[in-house]
Amino acid sequence: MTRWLLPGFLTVGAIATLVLIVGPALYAVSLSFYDIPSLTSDPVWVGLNKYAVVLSSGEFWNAMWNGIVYAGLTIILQVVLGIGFALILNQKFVGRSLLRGLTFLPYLLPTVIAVLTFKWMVDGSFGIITILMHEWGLPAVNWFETEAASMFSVILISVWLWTPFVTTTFLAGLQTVPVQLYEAARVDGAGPIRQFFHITLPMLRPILTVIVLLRGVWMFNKLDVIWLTTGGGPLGATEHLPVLSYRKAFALFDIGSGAAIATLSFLVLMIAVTLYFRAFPMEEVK
Amino acid sequence: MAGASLKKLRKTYGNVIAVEGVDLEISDGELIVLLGPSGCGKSTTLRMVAGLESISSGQLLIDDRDVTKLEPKDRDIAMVFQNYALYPHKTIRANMAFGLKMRGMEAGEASRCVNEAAEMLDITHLLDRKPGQLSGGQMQRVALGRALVRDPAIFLLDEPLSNLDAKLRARMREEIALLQRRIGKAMLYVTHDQTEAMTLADRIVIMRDGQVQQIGSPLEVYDRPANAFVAGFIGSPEMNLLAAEISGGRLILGDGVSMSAPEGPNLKSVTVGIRPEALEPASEGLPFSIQGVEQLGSQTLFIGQVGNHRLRAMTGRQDNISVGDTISLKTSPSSIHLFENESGMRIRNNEE
Ligand SMILES: Nc1ncnc2c1ncn2[C@@H]1O[C@H](COP(=O)(O)OP(=O)(O)O)[C@@H](O)[C@H]1O
Ligand SMILES: [Mg+2]
Repeated sequence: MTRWLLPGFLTVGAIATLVLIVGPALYAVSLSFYDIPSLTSDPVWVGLNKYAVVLSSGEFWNAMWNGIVYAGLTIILQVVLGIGFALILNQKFVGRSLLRGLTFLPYLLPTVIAVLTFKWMVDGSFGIITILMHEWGLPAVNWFETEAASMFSVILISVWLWTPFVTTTFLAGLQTVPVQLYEAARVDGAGPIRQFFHITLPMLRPILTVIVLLRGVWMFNKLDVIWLTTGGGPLGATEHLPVLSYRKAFALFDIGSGAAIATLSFLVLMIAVTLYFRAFPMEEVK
Repeated sequence: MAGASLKKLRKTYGNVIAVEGVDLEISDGELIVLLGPSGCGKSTTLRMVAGLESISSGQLLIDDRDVTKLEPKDRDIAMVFQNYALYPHKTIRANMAFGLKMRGMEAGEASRCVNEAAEMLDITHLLDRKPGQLSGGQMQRVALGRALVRDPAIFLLDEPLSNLDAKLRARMREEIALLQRRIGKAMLYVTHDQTEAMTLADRIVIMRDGQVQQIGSPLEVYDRPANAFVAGFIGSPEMNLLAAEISGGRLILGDGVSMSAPEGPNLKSVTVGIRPEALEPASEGLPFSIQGVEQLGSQTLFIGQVGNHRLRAMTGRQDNISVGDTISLKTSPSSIHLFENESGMRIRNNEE
């Protein structure tokens, strides 16, 4: 009986993986070799034609660059702010547990709600931010109208939504650093800043490596914030690969190009992750 | 006078009094051991001296300087932690040099100090490793080395040997003693192990419930314990403490057993303290019925009854006495300690 248990489970797992993950992925890749004007029409084999067209188009490289800017800046800001908040929340003060709970709240919000709330707050005529900025004599900002402001807005919303993940993970990590190390550092004459760079950061490096990797992949593939706010505009200023791929496939009904872009995006990520593992190996030599 | 001076140091956590007015003068080159059972306030006292714990009231001088309110780094101290507290991602060399670097010592000079200390502790071959690659004994040496490079006014050690096995502990104990003599700096050493205290200390400070019970050289506290608690804590095996009545110049131990009382006290009931090693077999004396025999090689430990009192006696090696035998034990009057029943305070005999 038990002889068959392990092979049995493995087989079930393997089949599930094939059917649910590998299959659809391969199917999506295969779509990129066809010309399919709509989901119901018959596919026509075109080989690597779609790739050639996509790679030679300006909008692909624009989207790639936007993706790198968006993912890069949101990660940097999330990590820096997340660590900052974690360090503050790690101090002893009245109401700490309450604040720890509150800071996690944005992470629980559905993206749609956060985006709609933000749009409402910066509304040109009655948004609270618009009114306050007007009262303080600050110049009006067209949050989603100019190219730079749009990128700034989507980054702002993303950072606000997902910084709590970094804060919480880093805060949990802080609890694992032995107090004696900080005491030894105090005796050695290291102040708070040196303690951070000589103890906290090296001790939490493994956690940080994972955070940056996970958030990086996540942000590079993230569609919803941009799609719900700017839809990639104005004039493609915030269009990154997921939006471009989606637009090609479902707005312009060029499913082949959409699939080719998604596949290229996947390859780019894979290369980036491989390089990342080279630069920051998970298993540190003791 | 250099060294350190603790004046009525006191520590409270809310309503809890952790340390109650410790007074202590440590002269330069002196090795003081803080000794007491777990929870008596040893670490708290040491950490107040280190500056890792604020001082609730009292005053602390190090090298004749009032440092009561200063940060650890400004106190001219170095500390060895119980769990070593080495920086795991730094090499041993970087661990030892860290304190020097933080104080702005120039790299070449720091490296020279590290090499010198490493040589002294025989850890030169470990300098390029990381703490994770060392054994417990080696980490202990490195922790000592990190304190040593700093050349402070006073060394503070909190149970530095408690994580080592018995053999290594004995060896490191000797080394610390030698090292301390060699560098001639003051040292405050915390332990709950009375053997460590006896062998290392110039003077022992015995604490209980946050209060100092006695301060004295190892032999002073052994020969003239200030109270029954100290008497029981110092010495191994433990001192026998028996309730007795004084009547007609004799100590009545009950069940018709008695012995001659030392001159002096005119109390009715007392606690009698006799060290196991102060008892020896004789042709006449206390009748001792033997219930257990422990052979230690050069010595033999007997456990048995005198009247209704349980007693331990440690003699030179005895091969021919076994469980069930009854022998006579004698002791010299000068080895008998008397303590007040209620307070536990020592009752001085006429010679003291
Ligand atoms: N942070 C603290 N808060 C409350 N009580 C404490 C704290 N630290 C120590 N104590 C109390 O102070 C007493 C002395 O502790 P400690 O100095 O660590 O003892 P020792 O080192 O002799 O074992 C203990 O009763 C302990 O419970
Ligand atoms: Mg302790």
